[in-house]
Amino acid sequence: MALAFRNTLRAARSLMVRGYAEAAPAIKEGEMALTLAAGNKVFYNKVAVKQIDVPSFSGAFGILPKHVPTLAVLKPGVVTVYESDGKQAKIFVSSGTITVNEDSSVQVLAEEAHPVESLDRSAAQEALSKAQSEYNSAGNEKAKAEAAIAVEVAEEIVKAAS
Amino acid sequence: MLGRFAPGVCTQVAAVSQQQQTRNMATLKQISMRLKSVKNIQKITQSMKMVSAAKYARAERDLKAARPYGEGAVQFYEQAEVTATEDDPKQLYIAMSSDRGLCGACHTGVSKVIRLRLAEPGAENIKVICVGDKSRAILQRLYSKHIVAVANEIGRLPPTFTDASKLATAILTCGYDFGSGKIIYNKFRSVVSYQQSDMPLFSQKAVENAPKLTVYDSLDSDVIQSYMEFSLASMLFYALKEGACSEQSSRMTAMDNASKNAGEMIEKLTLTFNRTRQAVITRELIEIISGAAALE
Amino acid sequence: MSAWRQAGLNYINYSSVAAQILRRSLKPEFRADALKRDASHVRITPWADGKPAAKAQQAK
Repeated sequence: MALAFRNTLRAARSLMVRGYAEAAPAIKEGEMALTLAAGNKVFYNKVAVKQIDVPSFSGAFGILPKHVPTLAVLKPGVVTVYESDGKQAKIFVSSGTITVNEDSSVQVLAEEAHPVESLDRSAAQEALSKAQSEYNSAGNEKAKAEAAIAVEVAEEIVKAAS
Repeated sequence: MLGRFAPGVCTQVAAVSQQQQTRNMATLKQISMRLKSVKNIQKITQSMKMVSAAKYARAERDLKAARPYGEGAVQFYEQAEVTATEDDPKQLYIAMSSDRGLCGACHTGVSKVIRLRLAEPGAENIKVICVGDKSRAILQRLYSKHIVAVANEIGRLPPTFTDASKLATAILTCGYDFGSGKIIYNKFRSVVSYQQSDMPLFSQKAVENAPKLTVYDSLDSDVIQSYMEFSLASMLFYALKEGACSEQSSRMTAMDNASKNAGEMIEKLTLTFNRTRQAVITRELIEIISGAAALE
Repeated sequence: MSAWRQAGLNYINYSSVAAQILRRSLKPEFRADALKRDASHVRITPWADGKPAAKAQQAK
């Protein structure tokens, strides 16, 4: 709600300055439109932000406006969003995709995402030890690979939830 | 000659009047039975409407959250101008319906799109995956040879991403190596309207040959493969949400109409019932009075 | 190539495992709601030659 309000405010302001109707969510110089959505919640829907740091399989990287178009696959970890008013939001994503388009709009789609404040360290540790024991007792390669993923994710969550 | 006929006519008349009498009595009972059953039907449709109204409210809320998701998933394919490779005629159509009926024409609409496509030339290279028993029931009669997989148990509960993941895995592992395809689903527009829409599916080869892919930085086939797998799941997730919302809203409308129709029927039946009852009373009175008059 | 792909998993499988662990590691007040998203009831039956090819399998 507050975000939407801010957006309208900004749109109204830019309207006043320029004196003609621009596309509604006015994207200023040095900002880009971010869509960050997960299966459980939409965090940003075409909101102007300054910078986004994302973890990906080809390494963590930061996206600034006018980033070269790219595709990437999310690795479990923390996405940091630098909002246009200087605030930082840290969101833990399980997995998903990142798309940087030619028009510099960014889409981060995750299967499951939660603000780091909602993470529970002890629950994550419990999940980690369970995953580790599963890894050690896994009978076939597939189960072992699944357990390895679980260990990796749980480790990341423990790290993020400190 | 006349004498021979007369008794026969007489008995016939007597039989008719007797029959009429019994029929009249029975009609009264029949009407009341009918009235009762229509009232029961109305009760059922009314409560189904209430149930789907509640489910619809939830589905719409869910859909609102899934919309940016779906838009984001399709955007890359639009921006990169991916087109189907022409040398690969194999196509895959995915019909997004559900297991449950009584919701207007929403399943028929989806199936019709596919039926029309299958009736066109070149249909032998098209395979269909039916999501939901309803589309399977419609398509299996004529086009069962085109079906490669059927998913059911859809529509009882709100769809989850896990459902979409399972579907996506099934599509990737169904053994059919498609060049392009379409997801046909009902796109929700408002409580009273939805529309059949489609989302494109592409093979990895088509994406790698896309004219504008070169502007994208640092891509290897491994990333593209993972990216496409996930985007298939998210498109299916979005289509499931749209479908669920359209279905609930159209079930709500269908049940509302059914309750209204039942109401009209009840009105008419009550009227006939009262009229018939009155007629029976009047006739009995006439019989009594004329009987008394004859005795005088 | 990543280890999980070599083991015959795809990114969708990877993603669902990752999401499952994340849902389990939430604070209790969010966890109950999130765990509902773990559930899936879809059953998939492969078809061949106009008939169901095998018994419905409850994919994990």
